Amino acid sequence: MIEIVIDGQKCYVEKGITILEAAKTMGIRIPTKCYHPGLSPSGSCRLCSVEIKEMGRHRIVMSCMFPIENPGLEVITFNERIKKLRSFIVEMLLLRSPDDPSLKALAREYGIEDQPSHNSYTRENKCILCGLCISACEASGSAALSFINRGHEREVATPFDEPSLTCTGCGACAEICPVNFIEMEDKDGVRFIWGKIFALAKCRICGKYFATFEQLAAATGNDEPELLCMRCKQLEEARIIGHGITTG
Amino acid sequence: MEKVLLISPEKCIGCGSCESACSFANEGEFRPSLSRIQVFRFKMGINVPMTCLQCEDAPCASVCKTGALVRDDDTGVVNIDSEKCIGCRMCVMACPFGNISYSSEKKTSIKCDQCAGDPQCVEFCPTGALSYIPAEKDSLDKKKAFAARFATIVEEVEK
Repeated sequence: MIEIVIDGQKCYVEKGITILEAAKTMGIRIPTKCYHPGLSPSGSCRLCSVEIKEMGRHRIVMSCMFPIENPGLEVITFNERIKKLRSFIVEMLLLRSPDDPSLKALAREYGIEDQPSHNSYTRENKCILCGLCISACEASGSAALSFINRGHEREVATPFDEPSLTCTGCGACAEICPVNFIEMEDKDGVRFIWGKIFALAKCRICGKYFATFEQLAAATGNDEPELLCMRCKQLEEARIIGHGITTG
Repeated sequence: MEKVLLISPEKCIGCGSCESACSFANEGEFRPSLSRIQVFRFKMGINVPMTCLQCEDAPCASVCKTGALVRDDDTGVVNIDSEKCIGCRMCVMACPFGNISYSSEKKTSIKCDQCAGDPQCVEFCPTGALSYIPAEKDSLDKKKAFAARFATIVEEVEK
């Protein structure tokens, strides 16, 4: 355990955990947009910036990816400098996604008004380039997404913007997206996502379309999995047990 | 100390107390659809409660890529860390019994965690169809005998 100081409070933390994790255990909230506890941090949104004092020097670091290695580290999670920095970031993020509820809440918190100039050209929600979908897809084993281009042309895409060969249509990217930018549509037994069309498996009991075949094969390791949705699978198992009771 | 949640469907009267207790303890409302234990009611008064069996070699945990589902070797419970769930739903498809579901609202998979050692379903079961007992030889034998009987029936049905 290492002794450090966060916002004037002394605390003991395990060596190697990040400032963000340490702050969380102390009940100190640091805003984040691109951080997810299940994925490795990328530090792309910069919202979790904090000030640290190490050997007499002050500097700004990303708390989500700064491992605490040395005792005596002093962390300031909020001051004027941090407030100014985060306000600017929130303002920039709001420009991309002006109607996102969580960003609006952050804007209120940091005293940023939704000015007409922010979104005079478009009110449409855009990707905030946090990269969570990319990390999630990589973690799931598909790695079908990545950033392409640079500067203001930067965006998330599949290789060559074509339907990906590895995408299983699981929808984790759409699920994790903090601004609900990723479109996934299930319609008439077909799923559309990232320009790819997936046939959906139909439950043989209730008839509900419940998953893509690729997803089922990946989860069960079986190319011809049983076509049962979660509820009907449970029902079938219960029926077998029930049958066992009647027949002794 | 490892304990097991033993289900004896022959004692179940299908009252649904377990579902209410579970949904109230975990979700704060009496809504059986949100319960981690489900009672299936068949003809001739046959009722079968179904919940996570906390498999030793849990398929849900082995397909989980972010470490959100991990089996605790001390308690024998497969726990879910909702914060780590990325919503890929692999666990839902991997579970051979359909005992784990996904909540789009909460953006996480949901499963029975035996209420961290104090299962409310057992607490409110009026007939003893659900019991929470130390994983000793006797109780494990019972569970294994049940599983063996279950396996022979599955074979029969598949034939």
